[in-house]
Formats: sequence, structure tokens, C-alpha cells
Amino acid sequence: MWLSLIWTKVKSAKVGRVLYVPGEHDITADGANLYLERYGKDTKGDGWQSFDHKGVHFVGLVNVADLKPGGMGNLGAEQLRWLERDLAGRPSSTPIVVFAHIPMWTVYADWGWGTDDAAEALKLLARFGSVTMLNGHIHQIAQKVEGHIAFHTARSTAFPQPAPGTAPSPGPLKVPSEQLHSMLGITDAMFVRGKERIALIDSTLTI
Amino acid sequence: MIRSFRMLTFQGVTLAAAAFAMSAITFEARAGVPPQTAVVRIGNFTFSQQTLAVRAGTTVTFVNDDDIPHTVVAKDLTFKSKVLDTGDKFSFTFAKAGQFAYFCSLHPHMTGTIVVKA
Repeated sequence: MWLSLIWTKVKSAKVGRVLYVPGEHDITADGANLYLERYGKDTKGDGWQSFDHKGVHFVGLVNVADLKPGGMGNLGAEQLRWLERDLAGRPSSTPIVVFAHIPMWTVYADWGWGTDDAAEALKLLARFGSVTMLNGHIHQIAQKVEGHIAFHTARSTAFPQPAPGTAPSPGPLKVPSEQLHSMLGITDAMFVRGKERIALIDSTLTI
Repeated sequence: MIRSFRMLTFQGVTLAAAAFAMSAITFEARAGVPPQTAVVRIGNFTFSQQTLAVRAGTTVTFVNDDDIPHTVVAKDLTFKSKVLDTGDKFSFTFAKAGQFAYFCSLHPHMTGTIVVKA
């Protein structure tokens, strides 16, 4: 039922393009092929992608593939190399929005709520003046700001999960049915240009 | 019914493979020794026994009691279940002695080890 709910939401968004990044249950034990066929056409690797929209650079990362025993989310060397190439040459003033399923900072390691090699990606993003990191996976809102990077995880449209460490496991949180809808939801991100004067940068002539 | 049929088929295939690999197992089977079995249950995003010791030839069945799909995958990929929904099972026969670390490839913080004694 919740799948059709999501679909209703997605359709009602009235956008020309819908882009996806996979969650851990979208990539089966046999790999990402079925996901890529349906949701990941024109993406790279297991579904990573980037595009520009109204001056904002969007990057979709996949941190749910090829997970290591005892580890958390994983981007992998190939995807990190792609990200490096994707960001190279872009002015540091370009606003960047990154979306990936598992949080890109360690929300709670005991439940695997983090990405082992996220620091490698954050290093590549550190020079940009505005970076917004959008994640899902933990089915609740968590936020953090680190330097120029704002992290935000969204609610789920399926079921809520417990706050870190408040339950024996991260499994679905059972709540009274009248409370359920208040714990499900979607996140809208709006791009608002800052009102601060632009920084002035002097540079010498180069030949 | 369909699920248990698949299970039996899988065990059959595994036993056949084990028979090729280890004649000792087929000898044991011929001698009428009942095959040894063990169960690891999956619940609360954990495997019920972190470490399970069994004798070589034991078939271990993993049962997903959780509300969330999980997998059972050997660290060295010698075995790999499909995605197990609630109530689904996966069996593997450990023919050789050794330590077999495994994890859930969807939630890799879930780990366990089967210790197989000769």
C-alpha cells in the first residue's frame, strides 16, 4: 500500500523529471540490474548521476551497494573517482545538493546509520560555499551543519523508525494509528539565494 | 507449500554438491545417520547466535523472524541467500571444517560466524 502512496505523492509533485537513488532494499543480492532497468536509465555505476538545474548542481550518490561485513554505507573507490571528476572545474560558488540513501554522516554506528567512506566525498565538497546533503534510510528527521555542509535526513512514507538507541533494533516503530501520519512525510528543498554581498576577489593577470 | 518445496530442492542440490565434494558425507548418509541440522533465527536486526559451532555436514537453516527483509551472505561469498522476507528461510550445508563469517548484505552491521568442526 505504501508503494502506491509514494507513487501518488510523486505524481502529484507535477515535475517534468523524477530522479531516484536506490535504498538498500532496491538493490537485490544479485546486484542493481533490475533497479537500473526501471529507475536508473542514463545513470552510471549502480545508479549515480549528476545534473544542473537553475545554477544548482545536483549529485545523486549510491551508498547501498557492495556493503562490507560489519560496515555501514559504502560509496566505493570508483564512484568517488567519478565524483572527483564531476566536481572538478566547477566554481566553488556553485550551490551543490547531494542526495544519497544512507546518511552521509554517522548518525548511529551501532545500527549502521552512516557511510564508511563519506569523509572522502566530504573532502571533495569542502571547498564549495553551499552544500546540502539530503538522506533517507533512518525514517526520521536528523540535522547537522558542518562547515558549509548542511546535512538533513527525511522522514519516510512507509513507517517510522526509532530514534538512535531507543529500541532493541532499528526495525519499524509501532505507534498508535492516530499518530502514524504525523511521523511519515516528505521533504521539500527550496533554493533561496543569500542576501549577503558577494565576496570580492582580486586576482592578477595571467598570460 | 511452495516455499517448503523450494527449500527441499535447494537442500537436495546442496547435498548433491556436497556429495561430489566430500565422499565422507555420502558415506554417512548411506550409513543412515540422520543429517544434522541447526537453526539461526534473524530478529531485531541480529542473528540469534553470534557464533554457532556445528559438525561438518550440518545443514544450517536461517529463518527471518524480523519485520524487515534480510539476506545471509558469506564473507567469502561461498553462500548467498536471496532477499528473505518475513518468514522466509535459507539453508546451507557446511561440508568442510573451518570458520565461516557471514553478514546481511543489506544491513552489514549484522554479522555472525559458523564454526564447523571436522
